[in-house]
Amino acid sequence: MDAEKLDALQELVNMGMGAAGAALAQALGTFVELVVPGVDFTDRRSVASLLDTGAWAKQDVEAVRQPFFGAFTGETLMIFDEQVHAQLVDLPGCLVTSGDKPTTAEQHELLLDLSNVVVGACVNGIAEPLNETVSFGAPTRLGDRAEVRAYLSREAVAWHEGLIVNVDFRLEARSFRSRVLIFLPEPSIHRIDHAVTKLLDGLAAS
Amino acid sequence: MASQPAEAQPVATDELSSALLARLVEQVNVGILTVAADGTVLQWNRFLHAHTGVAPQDVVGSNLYERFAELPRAWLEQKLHRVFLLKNFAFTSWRQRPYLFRIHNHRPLTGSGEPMRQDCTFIPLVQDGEVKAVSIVIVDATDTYESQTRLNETLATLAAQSERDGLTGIYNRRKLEQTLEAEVQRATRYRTNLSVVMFDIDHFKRINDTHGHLIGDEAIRHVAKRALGILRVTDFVARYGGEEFVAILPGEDVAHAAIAAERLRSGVAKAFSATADLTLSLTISLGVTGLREDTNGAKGLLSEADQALYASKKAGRDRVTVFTAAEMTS
Amino acid sequence: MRVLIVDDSRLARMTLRKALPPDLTADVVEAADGDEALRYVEANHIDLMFLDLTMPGRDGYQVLKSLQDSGRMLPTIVVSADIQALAAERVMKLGAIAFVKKTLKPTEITDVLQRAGLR
Repeated sequence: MDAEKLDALQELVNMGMGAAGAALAQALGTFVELVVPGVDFTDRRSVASLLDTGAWAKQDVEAVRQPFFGAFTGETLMIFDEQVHAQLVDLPGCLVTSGDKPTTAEQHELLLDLSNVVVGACVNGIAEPLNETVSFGAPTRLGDRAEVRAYLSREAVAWHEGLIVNVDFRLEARSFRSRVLIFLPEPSIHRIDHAVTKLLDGLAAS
Repeated sequence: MASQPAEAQPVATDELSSALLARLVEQVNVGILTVAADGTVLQWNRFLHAHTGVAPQDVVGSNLYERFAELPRAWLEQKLHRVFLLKNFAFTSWRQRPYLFRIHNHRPLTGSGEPMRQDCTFIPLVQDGEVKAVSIVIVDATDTYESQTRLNETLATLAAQSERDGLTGIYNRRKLEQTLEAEVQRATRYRTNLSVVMFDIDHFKRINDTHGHLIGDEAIRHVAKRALGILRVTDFVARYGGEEFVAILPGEDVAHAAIAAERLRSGVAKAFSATADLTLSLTISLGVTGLREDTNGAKGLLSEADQALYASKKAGRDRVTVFTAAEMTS
Repeated sequence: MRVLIVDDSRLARMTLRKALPPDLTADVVEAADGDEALRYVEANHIDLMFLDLTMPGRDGYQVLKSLQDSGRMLPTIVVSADIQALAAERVMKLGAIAFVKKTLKPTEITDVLQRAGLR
């Protein structure tokens, strides 16, 4: 996909994030801005090395995976560094149930919800303007780097190309990064490419 | 490129009338409950009737939270609100939240007496671009929960019996203590030599604080690997504590053990690659002792090696100290 | 009337340009980030600015603040995917004249312009 189409894809995802940010703001009880500084395509080899370089190499990571099907079929993997729980723990929205400190289960639930919202926004952000719909399976947690690595390197994995979406969370007094990897089999990538082209052509004409 | 699939529409032909689809909703072995934005229950299927004892006529048209006061209202309202707002699915898993509805003793024969574990999916029902209602699909996950519990128990038992340290793969403390007891008995009976070397990583806390605990783990792994490579096959190496190790050298007297310890010290002091872009230099301090007539068994050996190790630390680290009774008492 | 469109996405700039009423499109310029926008405003006279909020680097809020602080405030309509009420509030406090939700089919631009007294 060329730069222009990637830019279009990035904007679609960005627009999808607008409502997601609002929902998270309500859930967490704080101002939330979701920024998408970039999207790109990647191949299988590069994804494994993603975890080993730069900021991602210094801390342990946690990830949430989620399958989706419909107009596009595939699986997403959202990666956080292990600091994310510390960032979220004292937000008003996290005290909904226990009132003191959230339990581990509550922390995990929050992360799964957060991921579900962001991933839903990403994928629907791409699908909706292209007049398509997508259904989702339940998100599940991969607790540490070893689990994530094992997940990424299974031989049976049937994907070759994936879409990387970098998502910056800007909360009131803090921020953290995450990465969403959207694994798509080739027919789905073609479908997206085709739809984005149509979109751009529609705008250029007139 | 292949033609794109048409937008999926629910099918209601003569063969599969909506009455039959409604029959499916009733007979399926999952709970299906549908609510409106204000919390009014619009639909309640047979699974839920059977398991909660609440009939559809007693709940459809009522407010969900008024009818079921034990539901976590604030949390559930927020969860549902998000689905209405974002037009997207939401989920809960028994792993984080055991159940939505507390359902007891639902299996008279095989039940464990615990409440049903539930996985829930929240599905937005969209019409004309708006979410008209949300369906909550409740799946009984009790079997998975029970398998997982049994698995966890088995793993815990295995871990308790294990001889190996998870991080490095070398022997663990338990195995060390057992082995040392046996070696002391053997050496005493056959009047052979036996030595012990205790060593740990210098400034380990600093490594953890500077580079993170993942790099700290790499350092521990590195030392274990080097120790295995430098010591003899007949020697026994174990991880004794966080960054502490003990080696048992059967048949060796203290003098030879000290030489082996020095080889170990210099072998570890070479720089190594902790990750693709980080090279680390670390050193270890060592304490050596040998079995004598008056040694207080395995415990005594470990205590003496520990004291010698402490002396190495005090003297500046990155060195070997041999235990001698006279020097150590101070 | 000289109009400045500020957004890091080319698609968004194109979409907005297409949605402008015909008589406004005579003199439309674009900036791809907050810094570029500020430089342009400093060197040229702009009658109306459309500003995106979520840009990497200097974001929309910071652009508004900078203009407010330097006394170079100009009529600004914020166009954003972010629909939090708090966002709209903040933006109005920083001197924007209107807040419009970003969409691929912007039909309300004319309304907004009328309400803002620019038509």
